[in-house]
Amino acid sequence: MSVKRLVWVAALLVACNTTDPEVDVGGADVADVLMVDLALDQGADAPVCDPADLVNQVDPARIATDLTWLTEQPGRTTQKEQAAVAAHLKAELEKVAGLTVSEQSYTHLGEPYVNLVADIPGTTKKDHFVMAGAHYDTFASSPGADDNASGTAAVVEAARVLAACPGKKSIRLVLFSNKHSVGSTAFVAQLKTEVPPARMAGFLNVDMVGFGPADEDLDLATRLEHEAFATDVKAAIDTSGVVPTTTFVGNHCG
Amino acid sequence: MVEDYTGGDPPTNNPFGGTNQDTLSTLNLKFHAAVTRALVAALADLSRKD
Repeated sequence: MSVKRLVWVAALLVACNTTDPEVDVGGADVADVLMVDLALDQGADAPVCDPADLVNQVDPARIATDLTWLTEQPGRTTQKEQAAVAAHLKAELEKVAGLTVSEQSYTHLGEPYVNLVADIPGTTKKDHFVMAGAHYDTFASSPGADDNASGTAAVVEAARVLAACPGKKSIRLVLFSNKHSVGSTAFVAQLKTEVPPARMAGFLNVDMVGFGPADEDLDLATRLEHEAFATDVKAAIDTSGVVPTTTFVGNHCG
Repeated sequence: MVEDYTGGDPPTNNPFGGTNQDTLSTLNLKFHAAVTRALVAALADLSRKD
């Protein structure tokens, strides 16, 4: 039985999120979005864009560096700890040519938090989005290597690789504070004001993807109503041949 | 393979999740790199669909 989870939640977690009165995403809090535009490097040194070769550009050494940094932090739980982690991750993303990086600010229990959003603009359908994300915080006193430095590092590395080779649609990558419940609720509230559902292909929530034996396979968990999207995701991964997959269909909310 | 987990979460067997033992040394870095490649493959493919 597979044990890791790459949980995708189509329709941007909307089906799973309920209104949280402790999350303030209205007014000035939502408007407090810092946009940092980075020019796409199309110069002579730009990497060759070959979609079929992208998986080979994933660099385990870079991933190890990210995992080490995340797990060596004194904590990724309190507001102050999460703010420090967010600043580091934002700096890492801003090193990547082709990404538009922003902070989405919200308040939770009276304290300010940020989700990080990194967009890779599409070539012909910029206002259509495929999305993925992971929460960067962890439980108090836990190094959170699997939960969820693993998901965070995977998303950051995917940003590095994918930014050099955009597709037709835009890719939006999100790093959530406060787990994939509070942080994602704030993200979805903002997103719903910006992107109609018809322009969202789906969302992959990457969670606890680093633990298992050598022959581990990847769990793809989806809700019943998003099975078609799940089928597309599974087909893409299976075609790449990088890891075996198992799909779980049920009521899970990432 | 498709399995039904209606009524509950899919299985997870990391005994260290949420504890102070969820450390880097417990991770399977080869598997993690493969999952990262899977993420890249999925997003690259989906972003190229009409």
